[in-house]
Amino acid sequence: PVEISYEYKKKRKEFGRSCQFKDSPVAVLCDVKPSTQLRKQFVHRTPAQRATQAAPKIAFKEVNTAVKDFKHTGMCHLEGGWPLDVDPSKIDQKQRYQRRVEKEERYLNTLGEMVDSNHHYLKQNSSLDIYEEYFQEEEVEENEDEEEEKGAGAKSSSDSLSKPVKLATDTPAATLLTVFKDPKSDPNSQRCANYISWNPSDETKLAAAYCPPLSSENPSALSMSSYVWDVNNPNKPCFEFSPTAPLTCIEYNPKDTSVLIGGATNGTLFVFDIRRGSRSVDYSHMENSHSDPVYAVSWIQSKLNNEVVSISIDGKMVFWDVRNLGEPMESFNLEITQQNKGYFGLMGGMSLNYDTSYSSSKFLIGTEQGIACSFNRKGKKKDKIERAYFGHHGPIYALQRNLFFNKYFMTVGDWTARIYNEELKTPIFETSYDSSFLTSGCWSPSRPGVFYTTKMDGTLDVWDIIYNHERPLVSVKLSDSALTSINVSSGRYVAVGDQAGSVHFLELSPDLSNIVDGEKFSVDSEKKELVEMFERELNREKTLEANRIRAEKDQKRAEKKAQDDDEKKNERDAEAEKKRQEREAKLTELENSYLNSLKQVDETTNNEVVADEEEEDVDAEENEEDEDAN
Amino acid sequence: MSADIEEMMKRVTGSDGVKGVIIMNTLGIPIRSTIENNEETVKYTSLISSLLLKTESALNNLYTRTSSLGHRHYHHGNSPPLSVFRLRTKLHEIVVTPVRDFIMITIQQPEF
Repeated sequence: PVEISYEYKKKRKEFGRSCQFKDSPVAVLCDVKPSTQLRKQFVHRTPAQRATQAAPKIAFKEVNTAVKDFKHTGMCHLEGGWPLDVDPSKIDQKQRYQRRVEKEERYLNTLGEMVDSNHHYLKQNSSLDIYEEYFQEEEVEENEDEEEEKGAGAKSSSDSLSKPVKLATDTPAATLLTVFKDPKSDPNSQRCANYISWNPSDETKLAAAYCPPLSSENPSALSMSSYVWDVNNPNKPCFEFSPTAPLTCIEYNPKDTSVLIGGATNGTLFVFDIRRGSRSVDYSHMENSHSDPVYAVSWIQSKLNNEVVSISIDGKMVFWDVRNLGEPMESFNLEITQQNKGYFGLMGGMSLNYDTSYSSSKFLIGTEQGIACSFNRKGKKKDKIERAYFGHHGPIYALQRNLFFNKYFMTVGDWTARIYNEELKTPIFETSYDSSFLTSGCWSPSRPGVFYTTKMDGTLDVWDIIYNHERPLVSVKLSDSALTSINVSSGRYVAVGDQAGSVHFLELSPDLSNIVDGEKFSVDSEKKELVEMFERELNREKTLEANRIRAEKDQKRAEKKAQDDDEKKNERDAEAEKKRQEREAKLTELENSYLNSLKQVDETTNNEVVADEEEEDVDAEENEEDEDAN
Repeated sequence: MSADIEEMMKRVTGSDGVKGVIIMNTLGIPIRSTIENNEETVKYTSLISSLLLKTESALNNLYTRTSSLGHRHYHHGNSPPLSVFRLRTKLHEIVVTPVRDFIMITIQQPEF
């Protein structure tokens, strides 16, 4: 280490003396020349970095606002606020003060105002109970919150669900979980997902039938396959069907879920077995099948689970045995031949509903003419169609019996959805006319008053008719293209198909589906409500119908009576005429006889004859008198 | 003049179910009270006046608007927005009407 120090000496007595500096000539103390070796160790720095800041120049200064003086004081409210000159313990001073205040002018004015307004409110209280409880029932507990918390206090939820009015649909929602896109679609030629069927044994699988839009031509370039999707895998279908014509509808066999039946655009049927590959196991021949696309198929209850039925707008309803699709078992025409049903002729079948819990041989059919009919396969009369229900202005695209009350069914068509009772041919309830067409709909299997409708503008509506008649509870816009089909699985999940070939898979909120944590809650109170409402509407319609019929009858009777009266009057007139004529004839006869007798008198000159004459005269006179009396 | 006062008071006290009427000024001093017990009167005046203060400050904060200049002005002009303060309890209803410098408190037992 180099010590750097500079020694100098100083006398002791000179310590503390101020320094006196003087100039000295310049002397070079050290000269360090630049060394090129050292220079090589350095590099010229270009570009140089230099920081600048364009900021306004501000000065830092502290400032304080004017300080408000606060004072802590206590107030003893045994007697408060009296001004200084009044001693609260002395009553007379207080009274004096009070009286002084009362004498002031402004006191009087203010008092007037106060009295007026106070009086008003007091009177309000005595005139009516402004805090009246309209519904004297137990408080609406936090059951809605509990349902959302999913399972917290499930028991108390079911207790409060037995209240008369269920307010649980206050947070209804339908959330879109996944969208299954048609793997073979492209924007130019879109296939629509025309029909959806859930696998009855496995809630995660659904079969969808894809076909070109039924109203357009069938470009053969489009693929003809339909798929089974697994809801957990939206990227790829889990099974593919390859029929020889695009399928318009497809249904799982409810008892044997690896067998499916599909109806195609050329009117034929195909049977598929998942275990045996994607080609159809059997198919029907075009000559025996429908001449128009098959609009709906359904499995029928039978011993070996082999019977299916198919309908189409060619008006035929054909029953098949899937073991032998070469020939149909039975074929019926959807026609009404009897006069007094309200419609006469053949109808095109568009939608079908078969409910085994109601009857194993009866079907509900929705037709192109807008008429819903109930068809009895085992009917003995000439017409298998037992009843026809009117009301829709356009074709009925979907219909279904209510799963809780199977005497009531809903139909979807034109701009409305309607609910019918099977006894009455006009609807007992209809939704308000929507701005777009309704294309499909179905009931919820878990809540009796809830049903779904799909619309042409791509919206799915969820209705709860116990809660609100006029508009749907939830309205979800799923896609820009029209929705074509809908199917609900056990109440919690809904699959909706649209015209662009996508199948939307939605989950319903627990209060709509009534399923919390996989458990269904009892809907007895709702059922009661619903059936009361239905019956009320039914009675109303029946009364209206009865009134109408009675009014018609009355009118007819009045007309008939008028007719009768006219006839009677004519008869009477005729009779009167006749009588008058008779009388006249008699009169003329008698006159003639009298004149004749007079003549006889003139001709004879005998007195006797005169006497006889007189007698005769008298007789004749008497006769005349008698006549006149007559 | 006192006759008028008496008459007006009769209107209020004569209404159905009125248990008591107190008129006080904003300092909390009861000017007139139909409740014999002075302690109770004072209880009412003190508690209600502090309630009113709180209410008025709450309403003022709700109903003022700050203009672009930063001035605050009332929604309804300069009078305070409170017109009546009703407190309904299980026992009875207290109706308080503050008007400028004075406050009227009525305790009523409504029929319903």
